[in-house]
Amino acid sequence: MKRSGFSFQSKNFHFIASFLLMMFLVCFQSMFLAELNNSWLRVDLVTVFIVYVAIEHYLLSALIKIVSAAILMQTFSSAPSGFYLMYFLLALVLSGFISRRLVLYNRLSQFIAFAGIFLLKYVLLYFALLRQIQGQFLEDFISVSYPSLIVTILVAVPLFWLFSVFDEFFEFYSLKDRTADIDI
Amino acid sequence: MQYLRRYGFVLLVVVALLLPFVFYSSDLSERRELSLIERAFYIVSRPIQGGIGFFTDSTQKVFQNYIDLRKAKEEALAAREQNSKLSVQLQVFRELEGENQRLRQLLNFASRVDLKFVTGEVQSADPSFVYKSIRLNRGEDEGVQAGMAVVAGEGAVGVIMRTLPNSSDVLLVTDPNSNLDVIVARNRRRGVLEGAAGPLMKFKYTDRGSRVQVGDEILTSGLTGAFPRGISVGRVSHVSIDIDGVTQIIDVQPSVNLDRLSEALILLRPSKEIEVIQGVGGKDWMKKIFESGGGRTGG
Repeated sequence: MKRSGFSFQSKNFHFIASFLLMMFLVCFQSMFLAELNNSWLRVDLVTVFIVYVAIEHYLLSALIKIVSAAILMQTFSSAPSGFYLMYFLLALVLSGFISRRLVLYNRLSQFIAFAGIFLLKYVLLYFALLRQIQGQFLEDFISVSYPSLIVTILVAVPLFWLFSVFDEFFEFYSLKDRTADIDI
Repeated sequence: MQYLRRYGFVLLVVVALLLPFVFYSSDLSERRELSLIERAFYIVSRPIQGGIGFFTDSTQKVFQNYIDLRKAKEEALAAREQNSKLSVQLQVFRELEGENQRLRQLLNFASRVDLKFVTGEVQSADPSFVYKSIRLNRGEDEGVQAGMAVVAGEGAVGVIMRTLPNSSDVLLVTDPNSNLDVIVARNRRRGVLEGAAGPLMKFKYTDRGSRVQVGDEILTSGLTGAFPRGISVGRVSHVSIDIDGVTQIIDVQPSVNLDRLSEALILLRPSKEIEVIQGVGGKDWMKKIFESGGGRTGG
């Protein structure tokens, strides 16, 4: 779909569009999902997007979006300063490591790898809370966090597909496709 | 550039692995004002926030209108009946209020109801799903300051954590960072009500020998912070003894259903601690602290 003087294939246009998508997801998660009474509907969309971007997009472009997402999330949250930056960078590194260095043979191993990244958020949060709350709170913490973790893991694959459809709309080729082209 | 492409990922791994050490060795209780970059991102994302806010408000209104219509007829009948009862009661109360004022004037008592407030609508909640804060659509332009108390009809909601020109963030009473000086309504014993990881709060540091029971109402003491005395914070839902055999573990259910909160009142009365700091450091005390390099603020 080409128009005179304008193209969806432009790398810059794709970057801006996915940057806006990132902003939309952060605002949607804070203004809609976090306000829902049912904790089983609290999907961590932003983390799924971060993992997708870390795997599919160029490192520099992914890094800019991820750091921006971390800053924006921080403005909405009472989590300690720097928490999201730490978590998103770790998620970026782990996702990059999984996609570049590890060979995932089947869907199950992919599922477990991504579940591990989503679980990492709660591990980091637990250690942050450990310094803020005195006494036992693991049980409470698990009861609050597990619905969101499970539902995020379950919807991650369909969301990955949606994000790739979004990218295809801008005729963006993912890192994987480009590698495949070179191999051929 | 070539060097960055080759070693960029390795560099990122090093930074990402170092960050947790820096993060966990810093003061995690610090809740400062938004930095310039954070404010810039907040302003840039305002149109998107407006769009989503409009969408959620409209959806909520349509849904609510449908429910309201279904209930309207029954409620109208009940309201008419209640109205006639209340009209009689109102006449009695007017008489009592007049009498009360006359007696107060005689005793030189100041009016107890001298609170000014602004009503704010909830715009967003904490996206971490673990920490508990909300954003209200009232900010510095309406005179809101950090440290002010936020209440709803049923009781205490939280404390203003940080302010922006058109909005402010509220640290809810159930957040792990929240601490409130409270008393037990039944026996006036003092203690501290702390937020926790779950939806309940923990009543701690109670006076020696104070026997707290399930069902006891917990009220703000009015001695510290911005809350006036006697605002309901919660009700004791569970009492148990810790493994040391001495310490009581007291769970408190918040008075306000914070999950369903749609609007709240911000009491335009700065916290007592902030009033003292303002008395010493002037109105721009926070700016002075930032300029001197110690960028920490209290909640």
